[in-house]
Amino acid sequence: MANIARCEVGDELPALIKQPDREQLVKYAAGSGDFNPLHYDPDFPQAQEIGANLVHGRFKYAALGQLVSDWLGAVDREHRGPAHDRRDGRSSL
Amino acid sequence: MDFVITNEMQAELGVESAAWPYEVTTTGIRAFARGVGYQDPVYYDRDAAATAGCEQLPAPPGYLGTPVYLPGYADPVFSVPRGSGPRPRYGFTRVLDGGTEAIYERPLHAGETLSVTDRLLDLKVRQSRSLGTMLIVSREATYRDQAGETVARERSHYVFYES
Repeated sequence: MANIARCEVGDELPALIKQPDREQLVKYAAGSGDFNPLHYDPDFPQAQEIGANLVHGRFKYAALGQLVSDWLGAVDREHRGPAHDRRDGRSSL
Repeated sequence: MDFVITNEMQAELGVESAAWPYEVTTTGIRAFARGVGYQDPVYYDRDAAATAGCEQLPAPPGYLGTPVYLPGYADPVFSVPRGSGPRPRYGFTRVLDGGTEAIYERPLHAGETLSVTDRLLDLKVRQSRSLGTMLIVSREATYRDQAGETVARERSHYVFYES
């Protein structure tokens, strides 16, 4: 069981599996402001040369952030108890 | 392609840009979190953020606010103020992300407006078997809060090449 007080250099964090498709990259473009067509337009010349649309480099960077955030969030909730793991869908907007 | 870094290019190193406002907003945080694929409600739901000890939505790692977009002043592709982002190109037409590093001095939350300056850190020319001549551009952006305190620094590297 994860415990941040006992974590050590070399400990392995839980895996985060990402399989970004074009829809996800369009969402990332909207969220990040990076609208380089290399990431979503199959006809963009650079994508044609490479043979595919590339995942944003910063999407991978952000995914590593998510991996750590998810892990720390899980650790935090573990310390606070299940009452703080709110997944009932309510929202205050 | 032969490419040489000239003294004129070297003279651009370290020159600080004018400051530009970046807004850390609830909408920006949610859009970024959705773009990355976060499921953690702390980045979407104010109650979940409050339960986690945050009065406002926290900015997820990698999100340092949204640059204020002004047509004619911001880059229409990368949404950053002209003078920052992947540049200078020096005639290269192709660009790839070469990596990002950030140092946070404190967490960021919705409701903050940051003042961001940017400078060119380094220029390198490298040869690649697949891409040929590459120009590697490194930049550093400094994010300051309303009190003028540095809250984060971000180094970005860009790889330019020709088709």
